[in-house]
Amino acid sequence: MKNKNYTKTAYLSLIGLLVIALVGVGLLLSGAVFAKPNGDEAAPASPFLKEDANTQSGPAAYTAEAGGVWMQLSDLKVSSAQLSFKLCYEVPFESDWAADRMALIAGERELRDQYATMLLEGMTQVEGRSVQCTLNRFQLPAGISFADARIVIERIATSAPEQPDCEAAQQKLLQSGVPIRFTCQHGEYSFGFEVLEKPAEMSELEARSVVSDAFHDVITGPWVFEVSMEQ
Amino acid sequence: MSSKIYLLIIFIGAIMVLGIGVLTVEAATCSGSGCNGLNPNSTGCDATAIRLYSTTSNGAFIELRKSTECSTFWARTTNVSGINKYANATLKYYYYTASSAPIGNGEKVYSAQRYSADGAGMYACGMVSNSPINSMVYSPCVP
Repeated sequence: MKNKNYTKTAYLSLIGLLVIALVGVGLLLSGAVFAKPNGDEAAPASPFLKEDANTQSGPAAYTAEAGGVWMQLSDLKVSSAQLSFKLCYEVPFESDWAADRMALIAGERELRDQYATMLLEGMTQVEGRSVQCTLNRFQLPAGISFADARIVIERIATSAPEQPDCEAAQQKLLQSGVPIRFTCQHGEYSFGFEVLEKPAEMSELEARSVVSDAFHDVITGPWVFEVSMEQ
Repeated sequence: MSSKIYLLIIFIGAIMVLGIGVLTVEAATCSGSGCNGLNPNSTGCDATAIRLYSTTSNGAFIELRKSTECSTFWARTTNVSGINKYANATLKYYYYTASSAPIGNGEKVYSAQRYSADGAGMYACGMVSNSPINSMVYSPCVP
């Protein structure tokens, strides 16, 4: 009787170990990376958003949907030198999603490159949706008016790794029917690539842009927010 | 019967130890200030990299990158000017990487990494130029 119990315990231990081993090997084969959770981490203190005596706040929030992604723009503030706002995206998976191309169109003026973004780490809940958020700011030229203004988020994207998986990117292009072939140059502190084949009608710059996009995830909008304000 | 079970348990245990060993190899090879001055890619810290801050300035896309596993920070500059240019990525006051030749559109250089518990004092600066940039760059920067 005692020996029977001993054998039963041994079998149960064996099954338990087998399950743990299978889970471990499964995670290993799936290429899982174990990172500590970052949802509760605060972003580093920074002078990212500046306010002054002339800072005005916009309406509570705006929403837009495009490319299957819901987006909210909130905390809109305009000071004499800066326009800032928060963007939250309902993205398909957690990563470092941020606006990849955006424009501030105010009357006849269009600002494209004068912006910066700051990732708010981790996922959060907005209007019952699980979202990822960024703070964003545009540097403003003197005399700009927001009587007729809109912010256009053309696309959002994750960032590419330091040394992307070129084989996977090449497969991604082929599976999308894009006839571009390229090779990668992995440097010690650099990453480059060379386009080997491309359609004749496509410029080298366009082909390089397509290859660059294959190294990360991109969702194309546009998401348009009318943000006209009286000043 | 029981000796066979023992052998099986030892065998499965060995597989688990081996698996954990391989996973450890895949994790970062440095921690804390021991990562200072090291390559984020060769240390494996870049496996959990995120773009914390970014901006575009005069054809350079500048990022302050963070490894959530190593709690390290580094700068990365991507040439988005549309033409081949020299590039520089500087983690302000600490490290910089300058390309030895012009790099193509979409190509990147990145600096060595620096440990910081909260990221305070970490600034990524960078630029692209028609001439080599073999020193630290102090503007433009993020944040």
